[in-house]
Amino acid sequence: MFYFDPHIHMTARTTNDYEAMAAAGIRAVIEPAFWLGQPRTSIGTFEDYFKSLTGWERFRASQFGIQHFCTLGLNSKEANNKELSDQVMEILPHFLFKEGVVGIGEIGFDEMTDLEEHYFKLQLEMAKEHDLFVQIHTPHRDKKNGTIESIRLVKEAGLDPTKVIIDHNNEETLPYTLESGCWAGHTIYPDTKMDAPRMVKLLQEYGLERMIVNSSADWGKSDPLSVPKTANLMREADFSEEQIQKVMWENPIDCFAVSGQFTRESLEVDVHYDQSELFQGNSVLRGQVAEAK
Amino acid sequence: MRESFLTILSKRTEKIDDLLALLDSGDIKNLTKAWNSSYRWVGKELLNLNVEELELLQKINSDIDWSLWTNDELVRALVVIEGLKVDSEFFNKISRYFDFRETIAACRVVALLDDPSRYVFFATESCRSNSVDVFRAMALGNPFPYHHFSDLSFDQMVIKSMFLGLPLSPIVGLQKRKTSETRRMAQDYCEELSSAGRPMPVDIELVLETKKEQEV
Repeated sequence: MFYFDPHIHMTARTTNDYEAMAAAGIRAVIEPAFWLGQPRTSIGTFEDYFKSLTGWERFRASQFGIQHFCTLGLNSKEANNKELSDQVMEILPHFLFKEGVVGIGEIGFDEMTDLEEHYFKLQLEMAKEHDLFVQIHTPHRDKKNGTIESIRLVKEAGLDPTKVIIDHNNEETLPYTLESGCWAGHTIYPDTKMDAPRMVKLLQEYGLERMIVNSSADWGKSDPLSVPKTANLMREADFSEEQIQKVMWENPIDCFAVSGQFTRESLEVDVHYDQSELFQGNSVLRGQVAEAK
Repeated sequence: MRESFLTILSKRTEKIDDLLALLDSGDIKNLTKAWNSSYRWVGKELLNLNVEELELLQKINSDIDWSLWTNDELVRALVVIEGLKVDSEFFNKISRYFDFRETIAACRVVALLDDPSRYVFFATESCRSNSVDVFRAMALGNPFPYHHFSDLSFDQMVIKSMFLGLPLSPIVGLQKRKTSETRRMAQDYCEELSSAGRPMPVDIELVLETKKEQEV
């Protein structure tokens, strides 16, 4: 079975992770732009980050047979730096239509400040203007309120809810997200956000429609195999293979394919890669024998 | 040029009117979007020209190897030409954000632009790229270096082509631009290869032969 992890920060992960993910059946990923663990201090680092997500990281993933896409945007934490945020708003349109970019993300609220709301709205307007998909991060603290406010802003911006995913849902926020008509993302973290047994219960209670599962694996304690592991738990809970495929493969495709960047057919092609290939002179190899498939 | 490009592109996309709306908008934002999303309009495949189409393009510039061009590169050429009408710095402004394939496209497109001296820095930087694909787009089948590179830049490009194992015959204007200095550099490189026990480039004579020898 193929798996799709539609929220994972691969720039923070190793080639071992790529190998394990490919071996577990993960064939496609979406990497939202986010903060890097400490605040950026200049626009140049945003620019190079966006270039990496549309360049080197796509290549790196391809060398392990995984198709890499991304969403780009100003994350909520760094939206509180007004000077820098204004500059990010200026360069963002230069990147949003490049190959591999499936929309704007991850944007939303962190502490729900006025500045966060300001840049959240600007990016929703940008999505509306250019008919782009939006990936929304919901906050760790005051989560229910943050989710409700995010949905309010999506409605105010006049966005088609089928082109929006509200991410990091839990038992408290999911009813609001489903009621809004948006896609409902769930991040399976080892100890926080949502764990696999709780996720399986949510699927049993709410069904499979518009339900998305991701790992959101990054530089913190997280698991890039959360998607296949949750699928295994669904099997133990007597979900059929068709049902598992719907949640872990078909739903994320239906969700993000509106971007026009891929189709189910383009993701289900036979994997071909050659690790001896170079990207701008660089290789994923460090003297090892190249693998090819 | 525009009419020829549009004639060819209209056979490759049904959205030609939408594309024209962006191109003719006179709006830098729309033109930037058209540059970034050109592959969405026409795809990334090689032009795969028929005889009539090739004749059309050769009338524009017979030194360009049009068989190397892709559909989206043809769109990008139109975008840059329109963008420069609105803002003479258009190329320089978007070049800051080029991704890999866009850099390759830009290497081909500069051969079609007016006021070429503005693009010499971009072109010579492209030849310094680690990427063989970027280097190839500037060095092979592209008349820009022949017309606008300094002797040193042109010679460096020729030697780098040999160094990368690329064929020398597609370098436009090689016979006209090569000098005794080009031959010296090539000869030195061959001696290095010989000392290292490595094979010579198969078409090295294209550089080593003097013009008189070639005429004979």
